[in-house]
Amino acid sequence: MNDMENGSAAVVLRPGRDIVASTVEGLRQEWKKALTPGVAALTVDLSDVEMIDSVGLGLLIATHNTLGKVGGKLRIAHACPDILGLLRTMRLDKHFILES
Amino acid sequence: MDHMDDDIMTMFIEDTREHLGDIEACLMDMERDGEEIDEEVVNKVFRAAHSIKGGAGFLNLQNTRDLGHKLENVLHMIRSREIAPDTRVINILLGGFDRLRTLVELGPPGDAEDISGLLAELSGLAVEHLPEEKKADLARTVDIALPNGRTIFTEDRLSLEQAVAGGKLLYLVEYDLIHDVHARKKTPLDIFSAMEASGLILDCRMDLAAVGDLDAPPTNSIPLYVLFSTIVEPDVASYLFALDERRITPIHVETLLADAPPPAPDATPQAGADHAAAPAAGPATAPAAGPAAGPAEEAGGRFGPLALVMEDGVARLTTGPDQEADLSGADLAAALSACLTRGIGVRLDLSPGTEPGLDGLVALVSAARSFAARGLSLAHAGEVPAGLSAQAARAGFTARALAEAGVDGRLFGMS
Repeated sequence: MNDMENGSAAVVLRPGRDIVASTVEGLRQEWKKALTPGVAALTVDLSDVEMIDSVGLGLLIATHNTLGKVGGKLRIAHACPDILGLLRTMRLDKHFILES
Repeated sequence: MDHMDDDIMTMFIEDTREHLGDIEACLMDMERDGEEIDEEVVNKVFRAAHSIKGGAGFLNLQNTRDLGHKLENVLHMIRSREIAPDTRVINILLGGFDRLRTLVELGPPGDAEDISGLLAELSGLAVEHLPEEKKADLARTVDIALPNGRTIFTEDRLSLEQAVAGGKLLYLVEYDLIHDVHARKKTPLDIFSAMEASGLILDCRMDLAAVGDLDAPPTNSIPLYVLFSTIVEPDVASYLFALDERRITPIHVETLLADAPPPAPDATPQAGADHAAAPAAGPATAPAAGPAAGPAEEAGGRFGPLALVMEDGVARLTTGPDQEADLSGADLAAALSACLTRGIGVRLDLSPGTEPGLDGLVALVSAARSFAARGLSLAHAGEVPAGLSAQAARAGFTARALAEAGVDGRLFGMS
């Protein structure tokens, strides 16, 4: 289940499962619904996410691009060391806000 | 060699404890000696940082590798008398080694630690003491482009010079995360782990705009560009990257630097920039690891306790009969790298008690692949040292795993 906490302008998404090709389309639809007009701050909480594949990275980048249109930033929280290392190696820490 | 990882991690932690056992005392000695450095003490501390960096690269421990690299940079500058080890410098190093020890003990979770402040402090220390001409190189940038002329990266001259130090080669690698990675049932982490085990990622860039947004149809392409330095020759680079040769552009750094415009009169370096000072970061696990060769190495004479003697067009690397177990992985890596750069085969003539440590084993694995790729011989002159084969067995090396990695097991006493 993709838990969501929706404040007035900030949303926290908790996919709770790996972000990979087989889950991305469902997550994409849920995240689109969560990004209602006015939401400019979005946190993806990666607790319980052990793997992100290429398609999953595409979803994070697409989310970043959507937020960028309204001047928002994508925040990533609770990434496991492997995923955190991957995002840093790919220099995505220049685009996303990574919380250890 | 994934199934070896647990054994190697245990060995790495043990090696690190040994390396750092009396590091505080050595650093205090360095502070006491001041500008009149005792090279033996500085080299010992340098080798500790270098060895830990090498092992961390092999195990994909990024924070440990990055911190080891920054400490190594500062120690190299102390060794070359560019930095005097005063109280302030020693305090920074003490803090750095203390954190390094903690990171190693943490293992992979250590990568979640925020060490950016410490890295910046070490970088700042190095930049502060760079010679003026090197500071100018930090401010001078060079564009790196695809064959079609599209600029992908802009790097400073100093980073590029360091990237190819010790005979390493630089490549601009073009991946498509959908076609080259996902379609081949690999993950981005697989790709980066393989690259970091055989070289150094200088820079990385994704084409974010090509992905579209959440309203766009699922993307069919995610371009990823990697600037990568390695000792691997162009003919085996395609195999290493699992990519068509057309997606791998060798970058001729010498030509680029020669063509670069002179510095602007008011060019000033960025204070505190997160640039490595000399020396270059060697491939995390490759034999070219380590600082640029010093005068002795350039002359082809000695690498720590190792002597290089030319015999019938082949280099004999020998510890001599009296050397027992004092060979560091860094010395072995530097000697093998020098031979590789010169295109000469090697006979290893090591004393029976030689124990190269984890970084030495890793250097031998990397060297075996590179020597084979270039058609050069790498073998023992006589018996495989018992210490070396015992360490290899302890690290979980097996003849089968080595064969799968394209390495002749006889180099480690396994057939």
